[in-house]
Amino acid sequence: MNLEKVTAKIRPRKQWEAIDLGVALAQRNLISLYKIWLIVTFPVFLISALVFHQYGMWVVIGFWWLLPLWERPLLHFLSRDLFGERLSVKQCVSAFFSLAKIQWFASLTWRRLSFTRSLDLPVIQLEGLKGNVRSSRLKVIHSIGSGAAVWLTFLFFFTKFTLFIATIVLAYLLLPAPMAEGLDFFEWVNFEIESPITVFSMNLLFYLSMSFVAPFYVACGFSSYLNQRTQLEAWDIELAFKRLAKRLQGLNEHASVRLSSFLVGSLLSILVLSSSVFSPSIYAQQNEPQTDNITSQNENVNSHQKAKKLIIKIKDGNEFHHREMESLTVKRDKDTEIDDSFNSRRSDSGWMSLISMFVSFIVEFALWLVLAVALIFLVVKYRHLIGGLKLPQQTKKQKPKTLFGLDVQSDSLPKDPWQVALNSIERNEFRSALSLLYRASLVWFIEHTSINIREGDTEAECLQKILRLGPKNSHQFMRDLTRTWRALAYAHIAPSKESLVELCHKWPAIMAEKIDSGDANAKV
Amino acid sequence: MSDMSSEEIVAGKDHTSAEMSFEQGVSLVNQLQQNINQTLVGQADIVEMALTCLIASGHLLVEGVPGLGKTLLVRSIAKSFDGEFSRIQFTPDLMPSDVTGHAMFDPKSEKFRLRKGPAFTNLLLADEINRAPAKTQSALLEVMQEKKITIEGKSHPVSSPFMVLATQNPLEQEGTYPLPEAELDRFLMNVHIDYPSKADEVKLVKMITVGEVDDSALMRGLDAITSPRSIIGLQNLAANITVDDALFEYAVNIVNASREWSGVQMGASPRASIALIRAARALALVRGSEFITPDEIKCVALPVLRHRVVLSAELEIEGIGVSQVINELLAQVPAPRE
Repeated sequence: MNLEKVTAKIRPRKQWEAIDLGVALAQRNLISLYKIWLIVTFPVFLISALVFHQYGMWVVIGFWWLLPLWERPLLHFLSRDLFGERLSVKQCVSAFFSLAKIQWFASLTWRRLSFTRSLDLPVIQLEGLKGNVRSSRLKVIHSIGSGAAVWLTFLFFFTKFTLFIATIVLAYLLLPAPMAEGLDFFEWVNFEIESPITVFSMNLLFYLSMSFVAPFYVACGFSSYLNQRTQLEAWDIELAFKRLAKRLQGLNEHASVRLSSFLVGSLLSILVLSSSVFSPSIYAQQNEPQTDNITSQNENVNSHQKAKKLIIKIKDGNEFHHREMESLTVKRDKDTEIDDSFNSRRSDSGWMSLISMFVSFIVEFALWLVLAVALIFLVVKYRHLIGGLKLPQQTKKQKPKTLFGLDVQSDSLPKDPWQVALNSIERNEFRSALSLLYRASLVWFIEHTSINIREGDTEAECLQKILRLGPKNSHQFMRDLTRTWRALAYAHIAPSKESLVELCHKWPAIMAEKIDSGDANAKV
Repeated sequence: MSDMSSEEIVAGKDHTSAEMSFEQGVSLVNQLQQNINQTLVGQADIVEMALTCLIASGHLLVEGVPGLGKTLLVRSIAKSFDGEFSRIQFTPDLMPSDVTGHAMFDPKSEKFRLRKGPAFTNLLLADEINRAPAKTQSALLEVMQEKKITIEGKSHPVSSPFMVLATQNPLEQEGTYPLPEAELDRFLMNVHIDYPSKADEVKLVKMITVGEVDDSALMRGLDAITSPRSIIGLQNLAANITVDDALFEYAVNIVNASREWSGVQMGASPRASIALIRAARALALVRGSEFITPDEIKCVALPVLRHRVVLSAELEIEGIGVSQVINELLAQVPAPRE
């Protein structure tokens, strides 16, 4: 990487300013980026959408999950382009497989849902770091803030969905009214549609929404990464020095410059020397009266030896070996004064970082939990699409306790309803007998079949449901029972005793499975 | 069921309730149904409801786009029982006297002579009733409720049986005058006439176009199979059909529920409860049943309540229709069992 070849102006930026730079980068190379993206992704999308058309939204979910791989050629192009090396679309596309291989497993599993994916991708792909080195490098990169990268991910994620839903809404609104009447908008959005063309259209629409956003997302992440490094490694200063050096190198060739630099150098040397000559101790010594040159020479030797001993003694002392290091952050673009409470704040920041680490852990944990719940929900909802996967037991449907004002729980019935009904027939209580038999039959169907009887269902509607979903051997019996009951209840036409007895005798054979009940004195 | 032929029934045009047995009544209704269905192809449900309405001595409001056979339905019914038929095309400049009639001074006799309007008939087709202003629409109120028309302070009964079949076009609402609730309440039923099935439409097109130059073929094959008096006999038969007390309660429960239902601005009136039982009785006769069950009540509940229930603005904004609310209501109101 040669910083001097960089085609963008390198200076420390605010995080959002860096993202602006990313948008500008993407705009400048938009056609090339879209070409790379479409050549790499469209065939994959098209084939998977056609092959797995019966799996509805799973195609786009799968495609979305692989985004970290699709984004790599775009970053490859942008990174080279920024440093003056213009790659062709063909070169980027052919580099896809080698780029996709870089830490692909981690990128598609535990790192897939990282909110700083756009910022972290250059570390993996351009710096080629992995393991602990990568982690510590990311810590450094994130140390001056990665909030913008997180919001970038959120923003582009919702932009995709907004584009997708807005296009559907637009299409829906522009449809002529007669065509729109039979369509359910929410079915479209939820992919609850059966027509293969509509499913494909929905998938294509979502793919196009993703495609629209992808180059901008990668470019913004890359520019954020550049900005972080500029701030951490003072690229701007390095570049300024390099430019200065280059300029001076060019200027040194002139004799006058050489002379002036010599003069400046000499002047500086004189200044340094004079500062040592006119130092207070020397100045004091020079002002002392000189009595004897020899004595003074001996004294000078002695004092020199003493000084040497003293220097050695000080150098060996504990105080000389005591080391203390202080670090502080200085904002470049603000004349912020470092207040005296720096040391106390330093200890506070330790607590703050602990709290922030704890909060980030909780948030991350919650997000993983949400993902797990969402996955479970999707698997349960679309289990029919996943071959062989079936829940062990369907959730038991809620059985009604009362229907039409009647208690339809099995424990409200006598143990053998047909027997009790027969007793009622013997006492010529036909209505009571038939009512019990009919109610017991309904309870049996509610308990033992999947028939869902609603409060407002009439006898004929109940019969229709039984004929559709009930066991075949019960059909004729229920027809007879319903007809007899309706005639008695609404036309007050009493059935013959024999027909009632026959119905009672048929009942235990038809309702083969006994109703669990123990209360023989229950309401009849 | 009786095996009476149509000739026998025509011969017995003077059947009254006292003479007509239930079986004869059912047979007559079946023949009427068949006769009308020959002409009005693919609209069996509408024919059933129209006959129910006629037998229940009510009035019918038909909604549907033009060209579905609304006029044909009325003409077929009228011709089937040899009744009188009038048609009024409602327009914004239609006057009440154009409907009811008026008294006119005769210079010869120097007396006011009554000039009867088209309302003096057995079957009155009020085509596009909502195109006339409220004043003219209201001219029908008295005749629909009282079955008489007051002109110059004197009441004149209309022919019996009397039935108004009014039509509304649900699409062209511009320049229309929505019927007031009081007027709507006078209609026993409001049915929506829909497009026939493809097979029925093919049959209809063949019937009218093969060897025919106009649409007259439709009515040509239609015979008068009974008399207006027989219709009165059928009305009396229906009025005597057995209704269990639980069903009166069920009908009232449904109507009450419409008043208490969340999202309903105005529920149905007690006239709706009466209409439910009356229509259910007539439907039972049409279906050949000597008694009514909750099924008949449920079956007529939608056409009986549809025009009597006004939804709140919130539900209408959400796109929920009256039919949806009534169906939900019917699913919630417990059907009688004991």
